[in-house]
Amino acid sequence: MSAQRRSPAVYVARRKLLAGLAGSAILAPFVPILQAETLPGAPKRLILMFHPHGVIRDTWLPTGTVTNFTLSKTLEPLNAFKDKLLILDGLRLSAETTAGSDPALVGEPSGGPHTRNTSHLWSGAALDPNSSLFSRDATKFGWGLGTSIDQTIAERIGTTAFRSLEVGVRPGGGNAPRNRMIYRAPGQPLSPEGSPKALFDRLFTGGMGGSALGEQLRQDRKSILDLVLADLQRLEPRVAREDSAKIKAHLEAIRAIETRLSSSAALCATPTAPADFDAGANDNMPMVADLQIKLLASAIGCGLTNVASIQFDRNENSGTLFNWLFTDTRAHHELSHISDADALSKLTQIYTWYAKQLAALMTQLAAFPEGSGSALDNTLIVWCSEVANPQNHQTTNSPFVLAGGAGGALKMGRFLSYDNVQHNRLLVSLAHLFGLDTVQSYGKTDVGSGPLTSFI
Amino acid sequence: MRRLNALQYANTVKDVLGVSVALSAVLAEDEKVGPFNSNLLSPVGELHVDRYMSAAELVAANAIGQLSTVLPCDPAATGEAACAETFLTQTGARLFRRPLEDQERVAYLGLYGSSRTAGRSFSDGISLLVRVLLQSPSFLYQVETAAAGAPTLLGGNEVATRLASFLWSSAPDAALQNAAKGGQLTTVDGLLTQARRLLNDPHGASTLASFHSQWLKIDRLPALQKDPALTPTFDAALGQAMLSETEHFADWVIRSGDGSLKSLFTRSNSFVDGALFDVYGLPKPAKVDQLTPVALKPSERSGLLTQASFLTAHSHFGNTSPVLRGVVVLDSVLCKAPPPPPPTVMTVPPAPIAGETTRERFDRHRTDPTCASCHSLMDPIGYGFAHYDALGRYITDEGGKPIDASGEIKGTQDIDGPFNGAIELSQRLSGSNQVQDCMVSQWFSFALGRNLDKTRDACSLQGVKTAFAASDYNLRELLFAIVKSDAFRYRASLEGGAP
Repeated sequence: MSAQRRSPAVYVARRKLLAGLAGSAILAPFVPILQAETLPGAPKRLILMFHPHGVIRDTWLPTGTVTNFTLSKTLEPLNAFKDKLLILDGLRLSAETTAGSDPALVGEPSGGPHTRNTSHLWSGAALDPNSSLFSRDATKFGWGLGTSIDQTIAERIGTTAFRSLEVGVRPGGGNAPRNRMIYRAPGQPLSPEGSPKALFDRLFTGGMGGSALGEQLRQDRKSILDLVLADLQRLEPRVAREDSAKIKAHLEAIRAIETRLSSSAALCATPTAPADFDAGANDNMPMVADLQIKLLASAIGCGLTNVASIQFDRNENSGTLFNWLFTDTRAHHELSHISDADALSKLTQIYTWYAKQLAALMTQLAAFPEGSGSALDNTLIVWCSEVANPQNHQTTNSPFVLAGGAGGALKMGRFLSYDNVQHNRLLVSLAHLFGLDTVQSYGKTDVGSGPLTSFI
Repeated sequence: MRRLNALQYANTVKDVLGVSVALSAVLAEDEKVGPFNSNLLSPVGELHVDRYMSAAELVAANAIGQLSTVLPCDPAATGEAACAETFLTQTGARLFRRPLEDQERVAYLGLYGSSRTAGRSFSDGISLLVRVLLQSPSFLYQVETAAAGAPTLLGGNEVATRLASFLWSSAPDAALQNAAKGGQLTTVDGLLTQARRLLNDPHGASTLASFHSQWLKIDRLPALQKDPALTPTFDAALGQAMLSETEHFADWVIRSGDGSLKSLFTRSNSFVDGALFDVYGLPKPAKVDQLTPVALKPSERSGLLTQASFLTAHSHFGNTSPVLRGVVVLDSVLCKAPPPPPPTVMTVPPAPIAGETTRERFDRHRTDPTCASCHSLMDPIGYGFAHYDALGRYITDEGGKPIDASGEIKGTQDIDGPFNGAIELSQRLSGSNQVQDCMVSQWFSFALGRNLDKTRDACSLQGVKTAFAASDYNLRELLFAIVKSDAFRYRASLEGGAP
């Protein structure tokens, strides 16, 4: 099941066609000018989705059997897409040691359960215990020591203008490990783009063909980056060994941008540019979510990227108030540690809102026709959180929801229950789905081997 | 090899090109070393480089909008090509913090030249030059070329870069570059002459503000959200006023006052504007939109830790927290961070119960042995702040019950024992040897943008501590002692290891 690639010849043909279709720019935003049925086969894509602070299991867990199940309150907004869901119960994240023992005291990196598991979720690895880059109280730790699964898969299918696209909805900054989940390589977190305006600019201005001004900007950027590339190459032999890795990473980033600037992936009419507003403000979160989801779906549907992630909020977000759902002065994290009926009801409303965001993303992807179906059928979305039970930070029964499809390679419309299986098995299964058949274990915490059973 | 932080980037662009433009939303967020913004370890990714591209384009667009002030020459008089070359040579040397190499000059002029050949305007050509300079690694990184073998003295331009980055959060000015060129920075005396000049210059305010706001972890104040039920209403303007107060106070102590560490913790005069007058219960003057020097009551306020900024930043959304306040005193001021809570513990405080004081609420920590081991260090320091509410207002009772501000310091080298209230606590801290040593570590780490290395930095650290003591703990002299140290003046070896 190798990943499908677009041949350069396909691109050239499309470019020619585009020239004759200039009038189509008046099409509504997010509607592709050319549809993917012209492709030899649509590529499979992967989107990782994250929200913080687990779920309330009682209102999350579906009831019923593998193929005949009923969604509960939290996942209800996904009812229309039930046949495109694969819900996994019984997987556990294991960056956490047994309850009650403090990892800091037994020589493991700390940073708190939220921080540890955020970097662990997609990479199956722990935080660097030998780095003093960050401290939380008395413990020191560094970035995660793994490569996240999307980035490993991007090695194979990241052949588009953007090798991968990291999108955020108030993802937080500070380069704090608790705010970062995607790792290009061990110790190399990738920051999500949290501003719709900046995301739009990255995707749709300068880089792609278009107006004369856009073309000039694109040429300027290329000429400048050529010179910067030469500067970096001249500098590399002169600096200390530990610094040459930084130069190499910088070179790699420049080359990636140059590739993007040279590609002609303008498959779509450019969407309307979002306004420049404060994307970090609490009450703007629904608006930011709406725009980021649309831009992300456009990037997938228009062939700009095959690998993406969307990070909602960040851990221990003592500031995030869901004012658009209910009135309460307690932020999400604070609420998530309270177990009275009022708090549980409000928490369920929060997690239901996140399920709605997934439904919105699926709706957007479904609007891009591909072959006999849509981009949704060729895009596998994997949604989870860093803990399962926010009240005690437990990570058994992590709430994994897979949505969309893998081009037919994965049977959807199922609800699978596992018996306390390490989530690294799922990461291996994902690698296999995207053609990395030789992967048998994933991440430094992996104590088992092979893919999930009864999965494919 | 450090990458410029956002403040250094913005200050440099302002000082060299005269362009003031908000870049914090454009540049990717800074890494932290301890509490300080320093892009030391993590390599850049595509997003960073994209953001650098956008920032350079934004600055260039602003620069060509004010071309006559940006250019060091008049293109009509000298000819456009000559003026572009002068601009490149002079501006390039400031942005790169060293003269341009021939190869660079030729390559960049080629960029300018081909745009002109293609029929584009002079200002387009200048814009291209600005953009390439701002994206070059020689601007973005503080490059210190390495040599094999033992650490050697940094070159003049390299040490000038460290000095300007430390004391101005910017690039060297022409005078500092001239001193470097004249070889004056290779001697301790020459370096100190420049350090004194830089600290006294108005540009020094940027570094002093940045150090204190990050050290006390109050830099996020304007973005904090607080319970709307609190009075006065907390908004971004009040948060900014609180932050400005502390920044201005610290600057005043160090540059206008006696410079002593003691004053930082004990002076009760301050600088207030806007709704901050209400927080301190002061009558508002007719004009409240600028920082006004005020005398706060010495019975209520004593230095940094009793200012609204510290007290508000380290409170919860709607109420105070002896834990948060206690932790920051331990961590930032005493350099003695408590261990983290066990992973299964709920780290959210118990909900307030009507009729219960904050202290009664948190006293539950003492009854649970798991909590008590650490909270017995944090909470008793935090209890000393009981007279200040979640916005730092001075209160004399809590729901009708009298305030008990008695606390205790434990586990320090020299100031253990009971105390009563934040005034006494601040007094105690102001003369503590542990606090003095902590201050040395904090400033050292800020100056070098890295954590200290107990082995490699031992000699430098000892020298600075001795000098600080000899000055009777004068903070100006602390800064100069750091500049004099080997850790500041020597380069890394090719084999690696932080200098």
